[in-house]
Amino acid sequence: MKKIIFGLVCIFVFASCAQNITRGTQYAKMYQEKPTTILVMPPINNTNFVDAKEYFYTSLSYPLCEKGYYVVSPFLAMDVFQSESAYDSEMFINNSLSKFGEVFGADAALFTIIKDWSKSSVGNTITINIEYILKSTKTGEILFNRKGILSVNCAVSGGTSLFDLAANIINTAVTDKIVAARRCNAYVLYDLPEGKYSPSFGKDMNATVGAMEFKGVVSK
Amino acid sequence: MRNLLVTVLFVFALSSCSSPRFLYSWYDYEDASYQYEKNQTPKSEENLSKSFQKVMKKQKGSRLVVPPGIYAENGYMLIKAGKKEEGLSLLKKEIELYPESQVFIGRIVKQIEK
Repeated sequence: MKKIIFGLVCIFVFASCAQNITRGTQYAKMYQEKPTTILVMPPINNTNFVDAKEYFYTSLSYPLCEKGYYVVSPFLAMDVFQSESAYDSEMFINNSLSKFGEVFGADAALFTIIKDWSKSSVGNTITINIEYILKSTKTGEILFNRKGILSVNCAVSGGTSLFDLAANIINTAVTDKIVAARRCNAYVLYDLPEGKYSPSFGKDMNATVGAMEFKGVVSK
Repeated sequence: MRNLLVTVLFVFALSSCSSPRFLYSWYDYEDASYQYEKNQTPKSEENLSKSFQKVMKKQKGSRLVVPPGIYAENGYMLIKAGKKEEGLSLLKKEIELYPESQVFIGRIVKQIEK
């Protein structure tokens, strides 16, 4: 019995040494700036799949709210973007974002760049190449950044895992494509430090994170 | 020793169900809002409106308050449908619950009250 316990303790110790990148080190600027309000920018879509933009734009608010942030309603923001002809986020990504702070009260703006979207009929898998960049509207600094390739296996339903933010919502009337976008958001934003309304706000600096550049496979 | 293990397991089991995993209850809001965004028909509007009602009526998440944006979106939708007073009161509720929305939602309120 003692040996088993010793073995278990050893495994725990080793496991905790293996991965030592934390939210606090990887995303230190998040903890300095402590943004509370996030504006979701219309996604930059570099693929031929036109609908991808809509899939991501409408599905980003929920995971950010569940992370404890105040998210400017994408519905209401879109009316402003359209009336100001500001629908193309490419125009803003490398420029000052202070205007978005003034108009929307946003501390940070979340850009997404969809680089590739492909669906393989074999195994019913959707593969998304995407980058997420959260930029401060105050300092222009990049606060959070992850990019990579995620394959979503739409043939298999996933159980509840740590990445399973999507388990809280009911998927009834939507296609695999929108589910794939939601899965992708949950996977990537899992590493985002918690916001003001989360009970873990300011206490999650030691949580381990995945690589900023990721390659993963998840189930629907 | 065995007793200790049982106790440890018991504590783990209890702690895992002590608090809800999510901050808010969203019901079918995600689907309803996506369908409305995609296709603004009387039917999708009705579904979204029903979804707002559910979210506003009962919250089972750990915060026990309505999630960001729900009052604002419902209010905005009502104003667009000509229900100005009802809509304005919801926009104001959003600001009350989330003061950080004052900059944006406050401006909309002012424009409508003009």
